[in-house]
Amino acid sequence: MFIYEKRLQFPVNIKETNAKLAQDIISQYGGPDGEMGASMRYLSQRYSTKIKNVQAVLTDIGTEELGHLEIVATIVHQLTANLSMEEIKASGFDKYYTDHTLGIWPQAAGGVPFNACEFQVKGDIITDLFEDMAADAAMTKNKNR
Amino acid sequence: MNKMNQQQLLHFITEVSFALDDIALYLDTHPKCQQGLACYENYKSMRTQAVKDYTTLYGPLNRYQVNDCNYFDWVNKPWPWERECDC
Repeated sequence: MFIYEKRLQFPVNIKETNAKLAQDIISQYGGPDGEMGASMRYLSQRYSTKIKNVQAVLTDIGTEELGHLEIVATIVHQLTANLSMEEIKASGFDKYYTDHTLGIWPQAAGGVPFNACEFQVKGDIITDLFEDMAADAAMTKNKNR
Repeated sequence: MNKMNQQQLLHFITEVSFALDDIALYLDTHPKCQQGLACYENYKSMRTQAVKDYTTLYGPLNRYQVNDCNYFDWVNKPWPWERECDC
């Protein structure tokens, strides 16, 4: 069971819109190393083990990733709030806008929709934990760029 | 505690919750660590009081905390994705 708490894990209050930046940030929502893949990865992998510490840690990390997903969506939402048509066209946001207007849709920066093939659940916890370490390294690399 | 306004109190809840999120991950793999448990308990008690103050003054943070008999105040602002200037 999940209970929604009406707050972000980390507050977001963006004063200036930036549609160009939003097009990059959206990848952290639904891209190959994004939070949607991360949350689904950990929450789906936890059924494959009987080790209670691993069940707990995958549950808690997967839940936290859902919190991150909401933070990223909020960033994109606030970066694109109240944009004018001129700003949308000038920033290149018009391609996204055609299909989703100012809604939040899980895609990579290049427009590729979110795909469960971005992560794996093998039913073997050691295999899955190796996949988790690779995913975590990929995400860290993105954040440092 | 009760000298904080709504935004400050929510910020405080966010800070102590963040600490709890991190300590919990450590305790998941070190559930017997007394130092970790004491740390968790410390932040937990701060959070419990702050959430109690917040929900009394400003309304529910989760749906089970709705306590207005005349109005489902869960629907009230602020929602966390809204900018403060839009509220």
